[in-house]
Amino acid sequence: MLNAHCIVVKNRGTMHSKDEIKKELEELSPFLAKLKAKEDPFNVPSNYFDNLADQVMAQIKEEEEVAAPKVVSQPTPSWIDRLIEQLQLLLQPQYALQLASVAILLAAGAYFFWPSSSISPGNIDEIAANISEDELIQYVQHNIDDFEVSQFVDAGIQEVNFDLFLETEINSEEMDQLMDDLLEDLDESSLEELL
Amino acid sequence: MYPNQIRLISKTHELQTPSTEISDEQILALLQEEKSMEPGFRLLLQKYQERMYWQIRRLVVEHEDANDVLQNCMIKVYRSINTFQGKSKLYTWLYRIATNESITFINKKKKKSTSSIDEEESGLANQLKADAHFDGDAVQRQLQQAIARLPEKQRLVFNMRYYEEMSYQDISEVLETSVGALKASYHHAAKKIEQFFKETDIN
Repeated sequence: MLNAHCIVVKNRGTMHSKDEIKKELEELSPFLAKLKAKEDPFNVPSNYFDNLADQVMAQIKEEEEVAAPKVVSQPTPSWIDRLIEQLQLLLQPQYALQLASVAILLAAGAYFFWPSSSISPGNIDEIAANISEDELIQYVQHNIDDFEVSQFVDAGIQEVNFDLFLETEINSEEMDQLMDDLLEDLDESSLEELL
Repeated sequence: MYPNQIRLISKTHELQTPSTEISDEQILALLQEEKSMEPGFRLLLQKYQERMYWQIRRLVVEHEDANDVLQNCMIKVYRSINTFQGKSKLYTWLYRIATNESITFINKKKKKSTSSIDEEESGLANQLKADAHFDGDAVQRQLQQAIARLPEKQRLVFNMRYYEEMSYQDISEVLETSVGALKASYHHAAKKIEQFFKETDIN
């Protein structure tokens, strides 16, 4: 019943909802209704609200000025930072093992092929990091015959990525032979693990 | 000429008549653009600062504390106005910020003081006596004591309905509580306050 009354009153505007509140209080507690009719005892300093906006804006601007210098002093990312950022995008789980293992293989290859150069175990990581994933995949595909399955296994790859093989031209017979070779190279315990 | 309106102005602290007030849509539109953010924000302050102040003051009691809390609220509003999605009214969103900041302030103050509830009440009565910004007589001080004794939610509902004369629907948006529960809260609060007066009169 009260709800229906509320809906009707709302449509007539806010003045009537104030009346409704007054009536509610009179029915609930005539004592409090009488008390409310008296003047509100809480006071505010004069001009308080006139000055408030200026005070708040001043504080906001002060905070913004304190925060601003930090933005300016940030150096622009160097090429190494950008490279690392790109590598981090590449180093997602599905690529991690392949990338790491192939990078190691390439780095090792570089070490062996360029003995007279300035390449040392220390900067192999740097060299490996500079090689893009596409280059790595292309190298492996091109030289896939040189890679033995055992190398992959030693490098820690649990699964051979057959996508690499599929991109080269292999007919079904060669595929069968390849599979047989792969299976032969795996010893019994690894096979059991796979199955 | 319009005695009811005049009384409304003093009780609900509305300085402008609805026809001269800028709309929430206009304010929000200004706040969207960086260039017009400051003028938009000043208009928001002009429209709502008093209502927010009183929402806070009723809870924290002292003017200086209310001023501190209000300024913190306004800075928060400025920084987070982009998060206002328009699902509720602008003013209930503002009230919610004011309520939360006031409660946080009160709880911090409670933690600092180790006094018991009785000490707090007589402390409040003395504080109001000494307060330059409180003009009330003994009965008014008693009323404030009674309100301060209420459980938090009842106190909030009572302030909003009794002093701010908000609709239950608006209170519901601020406190995220059903209208039915709010009506019950208000009724309990009013009865408790009456009871407090009866008990203290007897003493």
